[in-house]
Amino acid sequence: MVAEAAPRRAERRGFDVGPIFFIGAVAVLAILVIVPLGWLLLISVQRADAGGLTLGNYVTAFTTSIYLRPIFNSFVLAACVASIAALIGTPLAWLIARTDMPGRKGFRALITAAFVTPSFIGAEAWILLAAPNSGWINRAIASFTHADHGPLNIFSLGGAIFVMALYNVPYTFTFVAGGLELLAVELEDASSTLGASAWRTMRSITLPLVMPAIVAGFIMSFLEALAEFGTPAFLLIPARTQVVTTQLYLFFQFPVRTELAAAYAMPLIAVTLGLLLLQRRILGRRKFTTVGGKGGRRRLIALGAWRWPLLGIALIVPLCSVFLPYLALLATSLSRIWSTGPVPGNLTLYWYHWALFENGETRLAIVHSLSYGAAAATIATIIAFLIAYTANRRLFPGASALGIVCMAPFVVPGIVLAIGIYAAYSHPPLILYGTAAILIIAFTTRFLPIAYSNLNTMIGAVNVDLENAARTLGATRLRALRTITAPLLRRGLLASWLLVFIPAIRELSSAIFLFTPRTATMTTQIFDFTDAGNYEGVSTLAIIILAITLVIVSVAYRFLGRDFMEKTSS
Amino acid sequence: MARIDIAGLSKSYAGKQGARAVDAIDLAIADGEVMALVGPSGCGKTTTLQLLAGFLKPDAGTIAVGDRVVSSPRHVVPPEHRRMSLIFQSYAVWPHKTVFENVAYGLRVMKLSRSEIEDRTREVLRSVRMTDLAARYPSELSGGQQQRVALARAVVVKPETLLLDEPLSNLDANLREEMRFEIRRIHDATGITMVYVTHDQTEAMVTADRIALMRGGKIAQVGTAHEIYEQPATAFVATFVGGTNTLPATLIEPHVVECCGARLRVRDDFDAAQRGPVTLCIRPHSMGFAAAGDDAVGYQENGHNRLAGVVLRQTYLGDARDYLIDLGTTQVRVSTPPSEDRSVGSTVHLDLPVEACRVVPGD
Repeated sequence: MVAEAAPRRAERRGFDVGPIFFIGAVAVLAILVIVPLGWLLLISVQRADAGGLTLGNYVTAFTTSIYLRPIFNSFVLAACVASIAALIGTPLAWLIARTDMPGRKGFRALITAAFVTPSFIGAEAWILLAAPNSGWINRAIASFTHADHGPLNIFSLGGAIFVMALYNVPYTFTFVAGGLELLAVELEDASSTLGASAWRTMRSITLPLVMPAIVAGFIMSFLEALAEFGTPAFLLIPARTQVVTTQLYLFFQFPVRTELAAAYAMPLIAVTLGLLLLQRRILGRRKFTTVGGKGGRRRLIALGAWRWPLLGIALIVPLCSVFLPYLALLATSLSRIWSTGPVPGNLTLYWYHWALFENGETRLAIVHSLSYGAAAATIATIIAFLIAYTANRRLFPGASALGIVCMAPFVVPGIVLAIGIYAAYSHPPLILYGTAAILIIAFTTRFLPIAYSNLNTMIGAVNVDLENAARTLGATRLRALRTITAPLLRRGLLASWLLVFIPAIRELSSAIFLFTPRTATMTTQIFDFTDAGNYEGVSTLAIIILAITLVIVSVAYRFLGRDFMEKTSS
Repeated sequence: MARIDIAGLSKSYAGKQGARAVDAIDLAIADGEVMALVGPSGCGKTTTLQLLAGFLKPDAGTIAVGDRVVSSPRHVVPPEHRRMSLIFQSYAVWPHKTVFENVAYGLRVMKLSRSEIEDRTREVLRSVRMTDLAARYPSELSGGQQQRVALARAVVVKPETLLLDEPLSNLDANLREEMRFEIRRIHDATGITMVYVTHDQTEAMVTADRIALMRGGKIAQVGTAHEIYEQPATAFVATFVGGTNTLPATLIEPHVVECCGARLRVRDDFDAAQRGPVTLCIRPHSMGFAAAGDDAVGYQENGHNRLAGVVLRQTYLGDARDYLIDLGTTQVRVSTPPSEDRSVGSTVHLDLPVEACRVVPGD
């Protein structure tokens, strides 16, 4: 067969372009993460009147009483949201993971729908439902009781807590349901055979075993609530109640006080970092508590006569987070004038025609959202892939530190990240403010950690021999990466792309600081329409965002499996 | 052309201060030779292979192929320019490519014409009897078939050197035997230089022209299978290849050691300076039981050494009996024909032929 070791293989010892790619990836990473975060830190200790370092910004931010109140409000909001979400999410998870309640599969789909619904869109919907005078529920109650207005006021701290808790239920739910599914049935059986009642078993065995999952869900919700901008902006600014994120927004109203905003944002980063480290420790220990899971077919707890009543009670959650809001948004988007309600004569497709064709602003916003999202998803996936590869294969000493850089934006709330990006790129040498690039950078940076953590695990699982085999056959590192590693990870790459694209098209908190009328997105349009009281426009855009999201998520579920979305929360 | 010279090669993992995985080894591999690197796990054989393939940079020393230095602490020619193919323990057959695509990969990298790629791929697939399975994906193949794909993929590019990293360790016993001869056949057909890493001494003996036995990052001995088996340089070599009993002994005069309280005649000798503590090596099947009633110990005039001991354990293995004998200060294993049945606890006298008694330095 093979005659001899013939000198057929040409020695293409030319210039190897490989290193340029990896160095390029590191450079992009610097633009995305290091420069903005560095600037954030720098301006927080800079004098407003240009020149000199000072701690004065911190002093002003944390000794002035009108700035302290929002901090207090934020913690009240976050603690209430996280507690309520955990109290609702835990029993729901138990019902769906361990009992024979009917419709469990459909229920999971509803939880997913709530999970992919941005809470600021939920807030918009609840304004339609429960605004003091015009909200439909209020009007229904008022007409029933003959009062002049209904009892509900969504423009309040209570209203914000209610809406945000609804959309944070999926965190605790996902963590606890995952824990319960891995929990070995034998652990509970062991208790039952020792004579413990079902209630006692749950209290002394099941609950302690899933406690880490509950705490992890609580922390996740707490952090989400702390960092959330949209919902407080829509529900609390009208109530003149400020939280940290809305106060940060106010710092950017005239006169702009970037230095103060940067100093004011620092505790948010510190708290986030601390709680995430805590959550990681707790989840790390969870592995130990669920040893021996996955054994055999699960035996479900029979609810007996309670099956249907419990389903009814459980359905209150998706009723409030999915059915009513979606219905309100859909009805409003189909009504000529929303206050008249979806009655014959008022029903129309006008607003969709308006949003998609008539109004240049919204049409452009849709194009912007999709194209910025796609650009961010593409850049984040490529950078995450190259950096994860560099770190995993230790291409140079200290390469694993790059992984930490990739994950750093995870502890920075979107609104704070936007401050850093604004500070870094609104002056020479790189003026990007007002361009699409600054929004793409913001979205890429913000969701880079999702792509990175996803791809890092996957590259770690690829046997290095598969690449090395290509190398010995004459392929350069880059070619091996392109023809072997990337195709092997194509599902992972697609998943990463979607996991960045989905949140990017509904991202509001970082966009709000960085957009200009020429670079408005769907979310900033929703923000502007809310200001202007155009709820039909808000609803139409919200429905378009939700429709795009739901289509992508359901297609991704089909091709990538159920656990693909759960990576966002880990 | 593909003569390989390894000189003073060292590599340590945990920085340069860490324990050396490969410790200043020298090894010359002739063009067309099959060299086996053999040793227990952690001996440095796989690291040596990775250094040869260009995946690792040495801390010291050089690797030269022909007259070209391909690895030194200053510069390492990357794997893709070394003209060495590597066969992996894990096969590393790409799961997302068919058998044909796997094998054709290296030819595509070379930018050969479509027809030449087709011809050479078909030819090599025929030679490993995989023609019918060319369109299959690796997940549809057995372990042996995957290994043949790996082999075909490695040789189709006509490398100067073929490196094999424990290529048969994941196969069952029958396939392993078949593949050993397959590899040897490919060598004989191509005359390619091969470096073959294995922990299995039998595999090394079947496939290799010479064996380099490694331990603790160093080469303990290099030689043909016959040399290594018959003239082990150290107790480790004797133990690792074929298995042996090692008895502490003292070399007191030419060809005479004192061992277990008796004076024994041995085959080897050292110069006067090296006299003193040595290790007496004797293989289990080289010993036998002396006839009953003959209870003298020490060297006998008939050319045999005698030692007395007590049977601690015996195991019937069908074609042999395996004994553990207590010699007082130490224990030895003895392998006898199955007909030699001695009960546990009985006193036996062992016959140690002078020709089978090797001594190696040290204790």
